[in-house]
Amino acid sequence: MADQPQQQSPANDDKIAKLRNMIAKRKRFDLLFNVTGLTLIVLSLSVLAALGGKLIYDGGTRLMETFEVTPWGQAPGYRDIVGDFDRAPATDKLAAGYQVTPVPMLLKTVSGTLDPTPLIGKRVAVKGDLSKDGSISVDEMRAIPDSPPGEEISGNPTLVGIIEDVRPDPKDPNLTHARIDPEPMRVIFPEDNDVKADDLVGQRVAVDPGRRGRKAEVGTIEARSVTPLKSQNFLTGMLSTNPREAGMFPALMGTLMVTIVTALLTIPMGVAAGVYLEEYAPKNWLTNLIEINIANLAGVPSVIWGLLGLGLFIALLGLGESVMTAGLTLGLLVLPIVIIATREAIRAIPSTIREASIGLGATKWQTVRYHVLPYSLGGILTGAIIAMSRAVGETAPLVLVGAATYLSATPFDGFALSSPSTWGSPLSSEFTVMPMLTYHWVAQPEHEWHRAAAAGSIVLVAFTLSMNAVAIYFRYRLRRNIKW
Amino acid sequence: MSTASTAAPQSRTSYSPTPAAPIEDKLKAKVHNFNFYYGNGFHALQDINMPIAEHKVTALIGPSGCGKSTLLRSFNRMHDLYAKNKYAGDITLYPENINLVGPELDPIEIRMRVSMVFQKPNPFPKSIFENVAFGMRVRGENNGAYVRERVEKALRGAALWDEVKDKLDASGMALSGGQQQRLCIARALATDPEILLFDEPTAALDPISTAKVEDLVVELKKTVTIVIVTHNMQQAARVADYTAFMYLGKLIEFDVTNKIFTTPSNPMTEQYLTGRFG
Repeated sequence: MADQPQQQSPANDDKIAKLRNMIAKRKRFDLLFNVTGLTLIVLSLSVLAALGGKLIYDGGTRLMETFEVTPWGQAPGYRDIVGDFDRAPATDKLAAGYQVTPVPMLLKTVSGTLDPTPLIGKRVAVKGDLSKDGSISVDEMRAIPDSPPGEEISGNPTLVGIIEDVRPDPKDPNLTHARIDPEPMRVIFPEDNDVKADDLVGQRVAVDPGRRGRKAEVGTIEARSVTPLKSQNFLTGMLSTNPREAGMFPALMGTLMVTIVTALLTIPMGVAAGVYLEEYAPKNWLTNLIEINIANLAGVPSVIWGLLGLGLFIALLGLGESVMTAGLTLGLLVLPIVIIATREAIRAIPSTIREASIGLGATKWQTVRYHVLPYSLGGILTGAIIAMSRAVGETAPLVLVGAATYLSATPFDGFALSSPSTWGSPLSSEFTVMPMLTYHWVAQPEHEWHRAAAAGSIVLVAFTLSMNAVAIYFRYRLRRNIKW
Repeated sequence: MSTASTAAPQSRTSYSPTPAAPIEDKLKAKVHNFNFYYGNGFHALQDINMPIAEHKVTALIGPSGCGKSTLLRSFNRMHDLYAKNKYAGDITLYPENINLVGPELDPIEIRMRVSMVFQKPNPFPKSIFENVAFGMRVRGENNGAYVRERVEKALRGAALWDEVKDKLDASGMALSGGQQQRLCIARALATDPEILLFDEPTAALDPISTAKVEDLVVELKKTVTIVIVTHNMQQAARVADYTAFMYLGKLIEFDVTNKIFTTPSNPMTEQYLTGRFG
């Protein structure tokens, strides 16, 4: 019957052509969004990659570098020789004693005058000035024949060792760098040293050479002091005025303590407020007003919260420029975020679940305790952790409540300092936090500080990213079995 | 609640309720001059009068928005969850002769005696065991052996025991829709309610699951008084001993199911049953 194909007609062709034309026109917008969207994503990802790459390039090596400092957090002195302290066996000429094997050092020579290249692999005696970055500006350098340690070497060299490698200074073409692996040097131990020689055996020390080379046996140091050193890196190091030795430990501890105070204030209060507003509060104009203003508070600039902290906690309550003040200030700052996250997580629970619970005779609190809170826990924890990672990254409010840029202690040292006269606790102690230090360092003129700032940024980003990773894990873990 | 969209009966004169005649069975509850107002002022139920017979199934039927669910939810005070809802009149519960909707009565006490099964299966995202045990948990019952015994009894009562006895620790949400609804029935049964309210319990279920739930309703009336709201008139005919037809917030007719479906007294009931409006 109707199986016959219809005859093609020009009118029909025209209609189809119009239709296709119209579809093509409308599809242009899909294409536009596809192309621009993809371009923007690629663009922002490459900017992100470039920034991240630069950060890692600048800060990555700084993060890995180790440096030696004295137990009280200072770098070795200007003239100190850093090396490993050990017992020295008796030889034909010398009695048993102590020796120090200096760490490999850099010899800086002026190109053309003292070319170390022919000396590669040879034993040399070097005379020059020690500088703080562990290098020697060479005055004299000469090859000497192999001879047993302790043998007299004329010329009172600063160091004897084997030249390992020579390369031009990357910045100054007039300088040449040579790496030297020094030989052990006898140490004439000072009698009034703070630490006894036997206690230093096997440790890394800084030796103040004192009147070096006055003795007949050259290659011997008549030390003025021998100080034990501990190796530190960026994470474990204390703050310093020397960019090479500045570490972030006090800021790491400060951030940790401040975040704990913030979390202890914010999470219980925020969750309680969210539960109250969602489950208990009557739905009236006052509740609406509060709801709107909580959303507004979440958008208040953070520096305003700093002013609030300054006025409320420091001026009014007298908590001082302390961990407590910082924690409370940040706590207020992120409280709206926790409240909003809690409310959203609770709102995601269908009302049928509440009705089922209430319908079985549960009280409101039992419903909250057994259903509302457990089922919204994933969302609440996610919100809380994201709020904490926001708090971790805040700088502006903490500048106002007195985050330090230099500290010689961590908040935990407050425990040790606790005594009636110097009362201190981790909460009332001065503090600094990671973003504060990063901000301070990046404002310094020397490039070395910028490396430290980059390293600080990496630590900060890693800190917040790992917090977010925990949040993602919780969300996945706790929502796995709950599908409404 | 929108009532305006429902088609009006053809004859306005017939829009007058037929008073419910007294019934022979022993009463479990009695709705007397009952009115209900939603928080927005909507007068959802108007002068409802009807008996609820003990150990019988009473069905509430009527078009959408007629107030049957509103009436059902008044029995265990679910309306108290939302502010400003107002009851007037009595729903008397026997044998104590107490007014279920009286403000002096704690709704929690009522809900412990009058349980409810909802339209959409709403198991908690907890284990099957904990779902059924929840009613006992809220009563502070911590005797493990006792709780286990009651859970098993309730699951048997809801004809679900054989299907889930080996996976009591599995999530209640992992069950099929029909099983979930029977789990909700078990949950409501576990605390030995006197009245069990069903709010369109099979609306979201397939025919096989529906048949199982219907069988269960008939089985359960031996031990508990049942009030069921349904859209499905055949279902009311199959399971109910008494049927109430409601329209626009009024009880049009209440009678023995057989009579309602064969020789209704009110012309509106007949029009609804024959599909002329609703």
